[in-house]
Amino acid sequence: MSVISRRAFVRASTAVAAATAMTGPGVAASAQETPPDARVRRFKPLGKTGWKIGDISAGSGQRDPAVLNHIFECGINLIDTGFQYGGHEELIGKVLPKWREKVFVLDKWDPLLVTPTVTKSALLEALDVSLKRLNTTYIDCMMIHSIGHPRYGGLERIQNPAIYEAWDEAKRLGKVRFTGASSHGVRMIEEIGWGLDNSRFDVILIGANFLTHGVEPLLKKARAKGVGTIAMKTMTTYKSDLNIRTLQNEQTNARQACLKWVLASDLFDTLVVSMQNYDRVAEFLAVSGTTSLTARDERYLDTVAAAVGPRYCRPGCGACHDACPHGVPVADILRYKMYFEDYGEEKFAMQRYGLVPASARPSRCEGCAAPCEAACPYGLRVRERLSEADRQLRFA
Amino acid sequence: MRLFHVGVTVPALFAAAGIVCGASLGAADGAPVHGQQSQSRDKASVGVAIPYSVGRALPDRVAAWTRSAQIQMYRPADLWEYIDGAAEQYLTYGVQDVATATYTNTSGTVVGVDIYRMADSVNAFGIYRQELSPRARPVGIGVEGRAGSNSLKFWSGSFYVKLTASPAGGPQPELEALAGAIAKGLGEPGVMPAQVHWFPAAGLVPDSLKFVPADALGQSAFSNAFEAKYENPREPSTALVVPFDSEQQAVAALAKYEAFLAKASGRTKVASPGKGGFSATDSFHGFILAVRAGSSLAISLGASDQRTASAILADIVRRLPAPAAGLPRKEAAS
Repeated sequence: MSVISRRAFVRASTAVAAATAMTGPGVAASAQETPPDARVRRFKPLGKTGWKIGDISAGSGQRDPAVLNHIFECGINLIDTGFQYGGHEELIGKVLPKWREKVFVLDKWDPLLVTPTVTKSALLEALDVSLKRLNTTYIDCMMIHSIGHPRYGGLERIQNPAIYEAWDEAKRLGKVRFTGASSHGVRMIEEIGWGLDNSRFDVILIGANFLTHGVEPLLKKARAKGVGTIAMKTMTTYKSDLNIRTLQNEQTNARQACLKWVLASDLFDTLVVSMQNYDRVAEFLAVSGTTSLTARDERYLDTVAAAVGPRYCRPGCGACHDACPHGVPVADILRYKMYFEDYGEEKFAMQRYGLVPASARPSRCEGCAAPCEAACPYGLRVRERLSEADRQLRFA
Repeated sequence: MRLFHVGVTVPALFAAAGIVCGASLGAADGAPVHGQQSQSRDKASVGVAIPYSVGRALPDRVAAWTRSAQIQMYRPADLWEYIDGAAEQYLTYGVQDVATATYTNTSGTVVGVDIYRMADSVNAFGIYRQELSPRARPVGIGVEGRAGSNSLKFWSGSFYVKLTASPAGGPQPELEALAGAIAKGLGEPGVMPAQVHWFPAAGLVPDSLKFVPADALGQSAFSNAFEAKYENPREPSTALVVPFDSEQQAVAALAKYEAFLAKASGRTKVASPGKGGFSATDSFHGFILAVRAGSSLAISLGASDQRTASAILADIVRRLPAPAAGLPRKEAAS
């Protein structure tokens, strides 16, 4: 597995230059040529499911069934959807009958439905709704959506036996073939780990990209158990239009570089990425078949890291959460700083920061040994950034 | 001096905007909005960012309903924390923020309320129509509203509002009363987007008219489009209008779309409606007719024949303003 080294990352992080700044929304698209015959070029087994899945799979984002049909025509044979994805299940249902035996459908219950007290019958009822929307009699993999996320509850949520009774029943009835969970929450490693330790999952879908570290043991454990592994949130940012000016006319753009990192890893069976239009399908499939990163790819990733990394709070990390002896909410403040600097959300960031009590502001950092910096696995100069945040975000 | 919870506390946030007078709103408007911590702070030091009164839209009591103590706010950058993968669609429709709270009635029923502030009323209409369940019952709340067994959705002005009770269902009259109060707090509802009048009523499939903010027909250049379904012998056909900033852009987009359909059969130039364009047949959409009218493209997909498609597009072209005015276009993402 080729992983950008911490040293390389730090080097890149400190080399931020104007030329590498992320472009605004008005910047033109990348100039990369994409082959006219966009096809999946590599297939890998998805755990022990017996399926061989294309190395690039489709997330949601399509609005036209013809685009989805085109995606399948290009050889993509896994589609990721969810109950609450605003009509995406129904969109798939318009195309799926033609492709049913060739396409692996990964669906997820509404995360709000799966609570510590949800009943087996409620889960099976929701499954039937999804089957109807998808216009099919079975779902290849049904997942618990977004585990490890505090908003939806803790471990007790996925320890509810009703979930596993519902899965068993659905498998017995032929409505579901495989089961699993998705996560990019702060307790991703703990809760996905619980599921793996207790042999609850056939497939896992986790937030991972070249800037996230610490998930390798989880993925290796999944591998050892024959559990299928799928990466999501591969582009690092909250939406998939990662444009970086200096890569606009390079061989690989920033989005493609991020995908190539996952493709070059031997720990993922596939990745899912939103494909909203024909251009994106071609752009993403242009890097299908990647098995290793070239020196040039590493340079591209360095560029992306320099533009994104210093401000990027990695999914599933939370390493600094309990590190501060003064109760400074480190990750939260750095996130507000990101809103301020990167998203133009100055007022919102300042309002959020205004909620932090004075007793937990970075003024407490003075004279502190900065255990937050020791806790940060990405080598960020946390204390310095906290002080910057305080200057930016406090009301004069 | 009165002290508030800081940040998005309603009177503090909005008093300076002149929209809401904090002192006159009473206890309901002092409810803290979500944050990891809160503290008392002088309202004068807090900025104004959200140009409507969250407190007025989410009152502390409505008939039998009592609101939870906190209102949570999410912005586009962290919307995924709230609705996970569903955020992507809301981002496409230009969500600005969402205010969310729960209400509990005297019999213990809990209803979640989400107020999504979209980029404008067209986007509120768009996301509402995108999430519309045809089986839901129309209700007279907002510009358009529908109630399902345990939910009620409506749009009003630039807001899209969702009320969701437990799967067992909520008491509908009470739910409607709550929704009505929220709608009132959001101000004047406004009217349907002018663009809906581009589409003739004859043969229009009910509720099929939609706003497609980006990637219409999967084309990255087709944004801010409106589409509608029309009755057709087999499946309904689709009519689409894609506005551009200039005639030159529309000409280029039409040429690119024709090139995209290079493998479609029967490609033929047509002289009308409008300034003409081309027709073709592909395996997925069936018969396609695409023409330009000023700075807009009008496209018909899946009509039973050229005559039918041409008639619908001719009617649409007549209805387009001259010069065709669309929404300010967003730059294509790719």
